[in-house]
Amino acid sequence: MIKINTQFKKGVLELLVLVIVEKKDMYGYELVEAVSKIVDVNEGTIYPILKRLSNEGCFETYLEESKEGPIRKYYHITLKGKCTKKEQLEEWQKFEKSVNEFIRKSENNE
Amino acid sequence: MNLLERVKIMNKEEFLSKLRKKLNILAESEVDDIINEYQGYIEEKVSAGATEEEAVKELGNINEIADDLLSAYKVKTQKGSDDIIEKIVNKFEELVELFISKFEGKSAADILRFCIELALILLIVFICKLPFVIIEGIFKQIFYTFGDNNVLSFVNNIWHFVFELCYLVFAVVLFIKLFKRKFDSVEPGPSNENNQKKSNAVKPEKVVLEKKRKPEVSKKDNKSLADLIYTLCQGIVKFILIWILFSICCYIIGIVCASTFYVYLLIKGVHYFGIGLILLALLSGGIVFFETFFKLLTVRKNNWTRVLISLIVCLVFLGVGGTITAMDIANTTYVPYDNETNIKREIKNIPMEDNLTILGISEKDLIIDETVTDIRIEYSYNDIFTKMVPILDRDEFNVITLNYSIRNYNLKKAIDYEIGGLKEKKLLEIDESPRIRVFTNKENHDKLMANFNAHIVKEARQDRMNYEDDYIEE
Repeated sequence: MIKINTQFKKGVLELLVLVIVEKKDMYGYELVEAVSKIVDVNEGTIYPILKRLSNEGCFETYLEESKEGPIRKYYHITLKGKCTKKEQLEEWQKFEKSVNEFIRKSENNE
Repeated sequence: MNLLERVKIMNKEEFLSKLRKKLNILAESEVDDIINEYQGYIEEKVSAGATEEEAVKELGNINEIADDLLSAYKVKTQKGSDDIIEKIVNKFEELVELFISKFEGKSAADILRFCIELALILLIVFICKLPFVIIEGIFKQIFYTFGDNNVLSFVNNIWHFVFELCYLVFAVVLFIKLFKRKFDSVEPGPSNENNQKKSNAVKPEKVVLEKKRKPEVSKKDNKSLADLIYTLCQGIVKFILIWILFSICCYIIGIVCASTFYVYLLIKGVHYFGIGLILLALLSGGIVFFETFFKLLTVRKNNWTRVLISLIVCLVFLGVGGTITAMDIANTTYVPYDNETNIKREIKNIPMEDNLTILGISEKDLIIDETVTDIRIEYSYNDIFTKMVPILDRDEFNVITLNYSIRNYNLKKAIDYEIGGLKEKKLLEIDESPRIRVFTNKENHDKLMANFNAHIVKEARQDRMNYEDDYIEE
């Protein structure tokens, strides 16, 4: 059961990350905290997603000094990232809609 | 979780070093990047109140993390480096994908309308060429008032090329701007609604599968087109870079040869320091350019500040060297052929004859020397030439033309000769023609002069007779 849950989460994490970074440039820790509020995941799994999306060209990174001292690496969404996010969002919405419809119909029939 | 799978409790250092080991197949820069991120995360968590062990635990299973990270890099093919070429081509690819995504599910009428608008934009861009043509025409007129020769037509061509280039850049920018404005106002294809209607008529389960397949296929097509364009662009740019690098190599080899020669001169004692500076500047400039283009070719980061500073320093050297060289050149004197030093002599003696005429010398070179009973002809020449052979052409009227043949020009001697001169900032003229002097006593001298004058008169008469026919005056 837990395994299925993890699969759900992994699938939608990419979408969440894309949506969050599109709103505002973020650094790693900030992003992880934001995602954790929405979905309960192991925070270590978020960085691989960030890495993969950066390698695919969906994110650009830049360094900025922070008030607290350490230099932070910020993630910024690119044009390609916006494309990917749009695709994933459409897929998710279609998916969510059809699944919900099916469940609703099944519930009604009982 | 299996009871046997106990999560080992690690602190920050243990976690990071373990992770680094698991990732050692990746490039070092990437691993450093990843480790930094996790380190930053753990430190932030700690500063927020947790212990290192708790922060590491929150990250989860280290094996899973490593697996996920490694799988992220299977995607990495040509992308993932901060290179200008990559950036340009990536941008291009993004645009192509965005472009194609807008066209999904559009009706024929929409597409037609879009094409018409595109044609309109092109028309506007072409009309904008008019001001460029007018301005270029005005410049042409101004140029022509200065006359019409090769240099001007060359300059004219350059101007024309510059104008065409400006127009091209302008046209591209204008086109992109107009296109973008039109493009962004256009809504993406209404693919959702059409497909949705279909799905309601069919079982919902099937729909999920169909939907998944369709976007994948179209995505693959887009990817292959973009990939093709991408690899093509990359190939062209790399080819041009290789060509440029080859040219720079040849240039550097040339400068090195010139520098070797300069050092040789320096050793021999010729001091023209300005030229040394110039050569140094040219060599450094060449190396900087080579490095820059090489880095562009092999996808490495270029430190542009360093490049800029190096070029500025080279220019400064060039300027200083140039000034010093100019001053040195101004101080160098050109010394015409010196007949007194480095001289070899060839002497030919011929007997005097009453009707003898000698040609090939001027009067001042016919010298009276009472000690000479017959005629002594003296050839003086620079000893750079190893051999000079006097040739006396005697014709049937006993007219001797003093001729010669020079053999075996000795390069080493010539260079040493010039270097000797340059040491004293003198440029010595080397003349292969020997100085010819004829020595004889007064009696012979006068007779020779008389014969010579008679010869001249006879020649003039001959000439007039030959050309009289041409001068028909009416």
